[in-house]
Amino acid sequence: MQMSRRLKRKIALLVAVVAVSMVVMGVLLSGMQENLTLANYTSEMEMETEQLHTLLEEAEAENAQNKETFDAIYQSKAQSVSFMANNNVGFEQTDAKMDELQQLLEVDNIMVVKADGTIVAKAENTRANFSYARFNYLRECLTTGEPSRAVEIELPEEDWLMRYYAARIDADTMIVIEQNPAELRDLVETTGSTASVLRNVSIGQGGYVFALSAQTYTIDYHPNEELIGADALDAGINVTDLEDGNTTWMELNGQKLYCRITLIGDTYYICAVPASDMAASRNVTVAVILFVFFVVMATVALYGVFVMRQEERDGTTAENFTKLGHLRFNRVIGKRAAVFAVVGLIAIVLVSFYMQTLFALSSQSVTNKERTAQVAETISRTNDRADDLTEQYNQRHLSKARVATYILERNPELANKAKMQELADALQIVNVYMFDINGDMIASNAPYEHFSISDDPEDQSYEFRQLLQGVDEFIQEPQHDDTSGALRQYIGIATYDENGFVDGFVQIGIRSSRLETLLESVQIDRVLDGVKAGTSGFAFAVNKDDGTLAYYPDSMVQGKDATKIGLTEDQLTGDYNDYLTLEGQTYYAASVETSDYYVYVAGSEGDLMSQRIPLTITTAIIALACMALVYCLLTLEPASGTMAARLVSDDKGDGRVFDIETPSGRRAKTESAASRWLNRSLDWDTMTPEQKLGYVLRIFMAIAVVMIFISVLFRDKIFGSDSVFGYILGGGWSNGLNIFAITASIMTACVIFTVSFVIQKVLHMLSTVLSARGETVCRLLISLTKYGAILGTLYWCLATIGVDTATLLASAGLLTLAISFGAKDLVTDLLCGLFIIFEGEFRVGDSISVGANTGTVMEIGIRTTKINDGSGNVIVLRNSAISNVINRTKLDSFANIDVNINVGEDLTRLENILQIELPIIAQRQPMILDGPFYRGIVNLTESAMTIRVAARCSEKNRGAVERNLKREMRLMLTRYNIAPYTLQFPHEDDQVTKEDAKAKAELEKADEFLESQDESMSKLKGDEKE
Amino acid sequence: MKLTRREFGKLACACATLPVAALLGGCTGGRFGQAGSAAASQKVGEGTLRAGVRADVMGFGYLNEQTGNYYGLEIDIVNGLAERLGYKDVEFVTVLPDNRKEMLLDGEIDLIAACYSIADSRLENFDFSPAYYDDQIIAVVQNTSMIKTIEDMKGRTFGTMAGANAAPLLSIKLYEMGFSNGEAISYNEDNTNVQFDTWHLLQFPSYQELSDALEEGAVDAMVLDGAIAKTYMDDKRTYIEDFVVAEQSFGIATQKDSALSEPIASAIQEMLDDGTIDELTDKWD
Repeated sequence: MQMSRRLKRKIALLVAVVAVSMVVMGVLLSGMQENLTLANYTSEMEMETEQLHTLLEEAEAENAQNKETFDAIYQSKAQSVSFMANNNVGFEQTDAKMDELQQLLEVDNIMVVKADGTIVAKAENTRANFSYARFNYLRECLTTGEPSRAVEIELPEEDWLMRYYAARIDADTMIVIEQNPAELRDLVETTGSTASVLRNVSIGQGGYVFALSAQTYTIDYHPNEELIGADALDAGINVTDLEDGNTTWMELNGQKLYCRITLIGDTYYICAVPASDMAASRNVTVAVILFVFFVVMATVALYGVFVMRQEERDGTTAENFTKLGHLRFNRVIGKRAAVFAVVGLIAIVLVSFYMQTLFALSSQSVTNKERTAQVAETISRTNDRADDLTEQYNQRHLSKARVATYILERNPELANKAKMQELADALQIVNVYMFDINGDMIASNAPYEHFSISDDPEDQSYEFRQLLQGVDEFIQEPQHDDTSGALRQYIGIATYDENGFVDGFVQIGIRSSRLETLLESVQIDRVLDGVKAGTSGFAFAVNKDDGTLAYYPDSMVQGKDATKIGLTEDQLTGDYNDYLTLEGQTYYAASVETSDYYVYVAGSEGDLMSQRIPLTITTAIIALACMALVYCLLTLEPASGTMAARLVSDDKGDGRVFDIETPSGRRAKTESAASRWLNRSLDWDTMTPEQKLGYVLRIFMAIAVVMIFISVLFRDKIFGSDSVFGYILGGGWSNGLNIFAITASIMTACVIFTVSFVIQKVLHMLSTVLSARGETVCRLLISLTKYGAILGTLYWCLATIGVDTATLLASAGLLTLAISFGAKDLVTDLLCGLFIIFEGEFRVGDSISVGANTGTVMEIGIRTTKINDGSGNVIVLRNSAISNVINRTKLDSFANIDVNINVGEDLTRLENILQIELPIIAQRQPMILDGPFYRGIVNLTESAMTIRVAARCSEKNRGAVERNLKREMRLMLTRYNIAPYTLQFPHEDDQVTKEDAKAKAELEKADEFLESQDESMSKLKGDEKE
Repeated sequence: MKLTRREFGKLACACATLPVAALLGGCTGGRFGQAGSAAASQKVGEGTLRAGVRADVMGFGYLNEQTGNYYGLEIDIVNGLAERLGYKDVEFVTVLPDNRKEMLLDGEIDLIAACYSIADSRLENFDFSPAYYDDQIIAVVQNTSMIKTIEDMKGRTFGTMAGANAAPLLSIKLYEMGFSNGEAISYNEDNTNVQFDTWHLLQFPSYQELSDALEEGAVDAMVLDGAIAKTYMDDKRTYIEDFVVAEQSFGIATQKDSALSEPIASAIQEMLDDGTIDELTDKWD
């Protein structure tokens, strides 16, 4: 069919407009989305930067603290040796003594050094030359009497890393301890290094912070360890971008990053978010909205085109147009296109809003989840560290206790308060006690004189009794002092007399403020105090055991029941992820389970959520503008142009498409039921615009479904496992009526329907090549797949949305009852359907009679069976209603006719006539395979006798044969003047000779007519089975 | 003082003359320029500009050994220079304070941009562009030595790098401020170990070795360019306050009266005038 040039021009214009609208929409949408995302990330990065300052300061302080603690230990060791030297405990300036002390103090080297740097005695050789001014710090102790500051020498190339400490022996001599600070370095590396700080900072989902030196531009820290030490400029960073406070795009190692640069000290700290991270989710959002926009635009435009094509075919009349100045308005297109446009616009708005919400909430969820994970990690890490450090401190303090014991054992004269105080000072501990074999205190630096360790197992001191019973050392757990509340730890070491028998023990008391701070920092409130989630977010924790609030920013409610602030029982889980109402405020929250708590991070919805409405409105406005343009193009045309002439009038539809009048009075075209059920596609040209549009929409729908299917199947490759959409598909959200559950339901439905569609198509193809039984089974399987998919989807979606499906299915409640009543017939139908198929009562293609209905079986469904009654009517029978089936499918059938004849007629003559005439009928009727046969009298009354004639024929011809036989009988009986079939209305021209010939000619004519009727009839039935 | 000056004059002369004398068959110091011009016969703006730069000074000339690329202020200046002069390619050659003079005189490189300070002695042999960076020669000490002022250095050891002009400048400075009488009491053959009346001088072949000696304590203060000192600073070291050995300015050196001298000088002046150098200094600071 030819298209007019006018239409071609219009179509080209429409395509152009749609394309331009798509581009405009795409650019604007992704631009807006990107700006929004960037703004969001910028503010987050600003916040992180602020935090980074404090974090780094804290790390710095921690490092200083660690160093101080480390130095204090070795200073006290040096000081204790100095104490020994001055208190007559067998100290000598010999190498042997140095060896002994090295063992006792657990240090790398210990030396006696003169002020000028000469080494008097040493445990090991040293590389240090103490005469250099470099060691002036050590000499300080000679004047102050206090242990010296540390001197560190680090020459990596010579493998020389040592710290030196000194304590005064006399005015010219000092004790010098040499110690490798590897332990300190390790501690700094794990707790206070840049890497240890930055490792814990994350931005959004995949963002991180990396550091690069402002001097060498080498990367000091990057989550990807391969990049550490690489040249940042080489890796793609532009040196001009590296300015404090700059927010820009950078490239690192081929990855595009959105960065904010902060210069702290000599290091650039760069908060970076990978572009791919931002793009993945954003692109999906934009793509979905664009797709819907395209579908709507295409629908409106295509509909217009289809209608115009139709008009060209059918011709248009002037009454379809309204004149508007120089233009005319096509009312036919206008009305319906307007409907499509409005519905489409609503769809765009809804989808846009939906996608924005999804995007915003899932970003928020992922962020919250990550925060909670971080908190959980922090908690477990601090716990581990507390354990480690407690152990470390125990060892250090034990060493001090050993030194105290060593000293007190060697010089019992020191057992007086003044000396004990001096010793405690040297060892940097609070208390030193000395006990005798009875557990009575001999001496101490404590303000009290008399103390005995308790006999009561409940008392704190009782545990030290074991030292008198053969245990060498005992380290008590740190405990809070009853009176001061400070954390105290006691360590005891048994002392022995000359014969090696226990004669008491030495106990030291330590108050480690460092350990105290550390143990405090493990407390949940300390961990959660600093957690920020967006501008108004915070973290809180609920005790797992009793459901009380272990931490909440408002200290007033701390310790109260969690339900008091609005949490419900089912929100107390470790994987909560949804809205929460706390004290009347709504937050978006996520939770995580730790060993003791449920930790929640609750934040406001965030900027993305608040930007949804403006974004949606903008989208709608753009869509409206584009739509208006397309609409005008479709409906308006120059008034001067000619009307479309009727080009084609042929109806190629074979009567399958025809006009009907809908209840609303509108004329519409429809396709016949049989044609629809037989799944035959129509010729494109014969379709109505609505049909064409439906066809196109189905294609769009299919594309959407298949795309969702593909994206679900290959989600990790397309989105990455930690992206927002990965999150939706991953199912980390909570079930319930929320946007994730709905999205997941839609996605699942798409997957199930795609699979079921493919299965149905395959089965359908199979059914065309299989036998009748195979076809039946295929059709059944198709039905099963169809219903299975629907029921499965329904079940899964209900479960996802939070309906308790198990209860739904199992409960014997009112609902089930109601459903079971309603479903009773359905179940019967289903069962009957199964029996029909498996017992093989009939198959597709069989001729059957059910009650008054006779026809060919078209389809055996799971619920209904469709039969074609031979005149094109499709009878839909419920399977349960199919009983007393007569299956007429057999090789040969008999056509029986009964003829009533007056009882007074001469039967013998009749039978003689039949004998002659029946073979003649057989010749005239080729459909008769055998016969006809005379079967005698089947009924006899006082007025009539009924004779039967039967003929063998194929079942499908039976009806025709019966009709023909009846006709033949009538003609024959009339010819032989058999009552009551005598010719009662003889016609005028009774000329015998002519009569025969004329009768013969008439008969031939009648036969021809009959044949032609038969032919046209079979044509009318369609050729479905031929 | 006289002795010292003579001493260092001799030192500088020895360094500068010997290789060139061997190469050119006995030219005297004063005639270096002409010989140099002859060697650099290439036209300005053609071919490749060969620049002698440092490979170990962060922020000025630093070679990343992983990639073989140079980074720093001087690198950027040379690149800018080449662009202004119309060179298509720049070849960077690592030079050391020991050999940079010879390499330039031999014509192995076209210019030196290697923290090379403009000094009268050098102006005799080379042309310098206007200064692109002003620096000070300073003294770095370890905190633990408790040396705070220059007076604390009495009787102690200074370290410098051999080949840099820090040692002569230091001796002059110490003499001028009355710290020392300038007399060298004893010195070894190559002047790496010189004993003065109130101080001791040790010279090291590289900055790294100098820094290591400071770490170990063998030297009590190291004297070097402020720009270079940055590379070796950490929180355990400090500058001796109020003690500046000399102010100096870095310029780009070319052979005396070579064809390149004038264009380079004007290009650098141009870069100074239009703020390019300020911008670059800021960038690399």
